[in-house]
Amino acid sequence: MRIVVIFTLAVVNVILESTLFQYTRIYGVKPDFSIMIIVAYAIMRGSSYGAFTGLGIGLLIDMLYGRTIGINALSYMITGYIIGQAHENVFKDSFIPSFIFNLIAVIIFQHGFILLSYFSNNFPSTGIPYVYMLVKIILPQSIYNAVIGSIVYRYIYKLDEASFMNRRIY
Amino acid sequence: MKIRNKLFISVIIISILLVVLIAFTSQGRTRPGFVDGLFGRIITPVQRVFYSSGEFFKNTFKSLYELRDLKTENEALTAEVEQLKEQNRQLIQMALENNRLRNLLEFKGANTQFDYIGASVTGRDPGNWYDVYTINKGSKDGIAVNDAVIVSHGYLVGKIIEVGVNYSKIMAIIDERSSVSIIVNRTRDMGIVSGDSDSDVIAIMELEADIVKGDDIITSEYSTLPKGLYIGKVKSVEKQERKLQKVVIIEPSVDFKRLEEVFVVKPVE
Repeated sequence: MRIVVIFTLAVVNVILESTLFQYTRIYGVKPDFSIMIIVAYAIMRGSSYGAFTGLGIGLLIDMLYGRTIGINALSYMITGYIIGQAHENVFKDSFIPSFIFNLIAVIIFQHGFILLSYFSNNFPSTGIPYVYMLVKIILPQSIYNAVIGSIVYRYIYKLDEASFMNRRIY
Repeated sequence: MKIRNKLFISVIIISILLVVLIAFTSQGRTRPGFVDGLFGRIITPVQRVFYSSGEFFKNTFKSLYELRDLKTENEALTAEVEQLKEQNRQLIQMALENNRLRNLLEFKGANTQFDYIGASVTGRDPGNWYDVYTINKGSKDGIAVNDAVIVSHGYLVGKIIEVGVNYSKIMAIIDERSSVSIIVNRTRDMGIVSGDSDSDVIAIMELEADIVKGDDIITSEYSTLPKGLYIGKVKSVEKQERKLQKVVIIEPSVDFKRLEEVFVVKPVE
């Protein structure tokens, strides 16, 4: 059941991110709701959940919007895997881990994404200075993500604690 | 620990697969593959619904946001409307005045036997009985007692009864004390008109006088006023057999309630 819920969450998230959540942009920076979900599952369930949730969401985004398949998938998967390493050492019912790990996750993801884009020739050839990207996009997004993510985390946590999650449907 | 290693190895393997995938697709695709094509086909209509609902929310919030400025905007626009209305009133007045003066000018061009002294009405007798107007020209402008006063088209207003240095008084033809010698333009029958308690004038004429409703009445040459000034049209004729006279009610062409610019006329010497 949990797999089904995560998959549904991923699909709905991808749809909403490409449509409704576009209106959450502040100065052109949109929080990454995929990362919120990945971080939530990585904290609650560990690296395996983090990595495969990331892989799933990344593949969906790649298929729908990517020119090159795999960039988002690989970046999200690695992000989920790394964040999942902290799984055993954090309090799951506090919002603080989600805040901090959202902050870190955005930075990891964006660097992975930029590197992969660069090596797969998907990066604008004109080139954007790294400092500009860091200050204008990555850091604002990570803070924005951390704030929204810690709110979203509470709801995902409650959902995950619900009793129907452990029911077997097959 | 074992499960960790397993996970780590599978993550590495998938990563390598993804890198290969990236390498294969890095040149960009122009046509989707089978799986992503199917997925895109399913998901696009759903996205459209959400996207358009997003537009709806955006517009709603935008109009809520705009509501705040609406009040000040409304005040500014109301003030502007008032100002424009006032300007419009002034312009309409000027246009009407222009029209009246143009009519007067035409009359002036056609009647060169007179000298014309333009004047503005400054006041009207506040009582109910008499119809006396004051104008802003007097003896220093050459006005004398018994001069005729007309408005545009040459309609007779009355005559000057008193002249100050810079003002004059007009007794209108509708004043009960006024009497003017007239002639029926069509038949040359003569008579005398005087004012009425209404804004009409009454003429007493001989029983044999040929006069019907609609006849034009002008001043005669026996008057103190210049001859040929237009007074008005006959409104009704009443025969009084026993008194051997006809009572003729004439409606003046001048609108005495709205008298603004008048001209004092004097025969050219």
